[in-house]
Amino acid sequence: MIDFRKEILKYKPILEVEEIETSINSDEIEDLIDVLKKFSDKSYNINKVQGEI
Amino acid sequence: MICPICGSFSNNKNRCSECGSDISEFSKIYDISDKLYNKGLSYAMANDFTRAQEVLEKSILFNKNNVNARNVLGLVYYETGMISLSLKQWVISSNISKENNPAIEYVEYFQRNSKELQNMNESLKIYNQSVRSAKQKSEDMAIIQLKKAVDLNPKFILALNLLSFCYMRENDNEKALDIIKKVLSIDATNPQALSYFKELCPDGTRLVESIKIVKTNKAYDEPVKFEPKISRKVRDSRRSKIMEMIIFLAGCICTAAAMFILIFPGVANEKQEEIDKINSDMMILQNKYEEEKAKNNENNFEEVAKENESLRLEIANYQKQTEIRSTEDQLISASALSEKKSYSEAVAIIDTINVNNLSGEKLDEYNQLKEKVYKEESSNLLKEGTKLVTSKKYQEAKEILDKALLYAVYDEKTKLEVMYYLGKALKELGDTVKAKEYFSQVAENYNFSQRRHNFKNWAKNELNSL
Repeated sequence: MIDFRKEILKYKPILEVEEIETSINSDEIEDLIDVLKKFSDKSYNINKVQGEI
Repeated sequence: MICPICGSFSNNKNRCSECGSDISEFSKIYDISDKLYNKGLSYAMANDFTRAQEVLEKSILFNKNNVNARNVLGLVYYETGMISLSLKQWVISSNISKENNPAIEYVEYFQRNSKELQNMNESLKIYNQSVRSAKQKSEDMAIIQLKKAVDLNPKFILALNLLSFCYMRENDNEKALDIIKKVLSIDATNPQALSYFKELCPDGTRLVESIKIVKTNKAYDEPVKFEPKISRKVRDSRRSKIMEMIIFLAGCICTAAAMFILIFPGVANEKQEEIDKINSDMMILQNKYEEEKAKNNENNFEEVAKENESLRLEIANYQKQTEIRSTEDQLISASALSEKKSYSEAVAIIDTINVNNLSGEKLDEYNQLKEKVYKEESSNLLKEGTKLVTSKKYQEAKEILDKALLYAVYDEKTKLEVMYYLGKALKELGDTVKAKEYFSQVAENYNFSQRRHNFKNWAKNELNSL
């Protein structure tokens, strides 16, 4: 039996044509944030290792 | 491959031949992206759009500059009715590479065919509204919206899935099944459609398999169609051929004209005279035509005026009919109130009825009802007025008895009794002239049974006292 509440959550509003530019920009910003997070994790780990030494 | 560090082309996959950087890891990642692209392409060719979409999205995750993957992903989105997502991929793709990139043509195609884009975008907006409606559990509204969205964008898989889901919620399983079959004929392995299908037909897996097989075979025979695939070169060559033809024809016409003028100048003069004559004939015919037209217009005007008049009469007739119906409704309401013994309300309605709108049986009915209601109302008011006179509230009594006198037109006895009490109230209020008038009428005309109430003598006594 399909559970209405769970099933309806699968349907989300879709991107409209007017929002394409904003969506591309936000995707780029998300990519940048991912890169920065990766850098910050790495630098944190390096500092941690140096601190232990 | 392109070195991601310096941006130059490198023949060596492990080390950049220009900057010498180690690019072996990048090379592996790009290879994975390309493999995923190939897999996605084969799924797309087999119309297995759900899996194609998943794999191509992964391919882009590994290499966001994979133009081919973006282009095919855009086509997959387009085939499933999600134009905004496909345009997004094509716009990004056309910004990454401008050389021999079909994405540029795809974007240009939609810039030219803005109507198609507008329709598809409208369908997305309606779909978004329907999602909200479905979440608020108003499935009937969602169904209406989704039908519209699917009309505008028939391959819109998401909308079709939600529509089938809404039909299932409304227990309209036959319609839901039709929609599911349509979805599976577009996207053979759509997981949502398959889950709905299993829900509706737990033993119908064979049918799903048959849909898959039919669709898969068909897909390999017919490659993915998309209109803007005509290359620029082909278009340019077509255009140049057409231009050559036009130039050739123009040359022929010019040559013929020059020969005609040079070799036959006399003929040209004759032709000119003929042209002048034809022109003058044409002018005469034109004038005749204008005259005829003016006459016809006058005739038409008269016809239109007649038609207008008949329409006016028709409207007036309709208005009259409406008024009659409204009056008859009033009569029915008054009759119902009379049955409930709400005489004062019934009298109020009867007083507003326009008798001109009644005839025959209805008029008789009205007269009978009016008499009955007036009698009852005047009798009630008389009782009320009498009590007020007894309790010496003369002003209020006068107002009530005035009304009673108006409604006592059908009942002479009640009318004279009302006059007597009205006379008493007026006497106390100081209007002796009017009081005398009423008392004298009662004294002269009251000839009814006087066992309990001797109105005639009472009125005479009152006259004497005045």
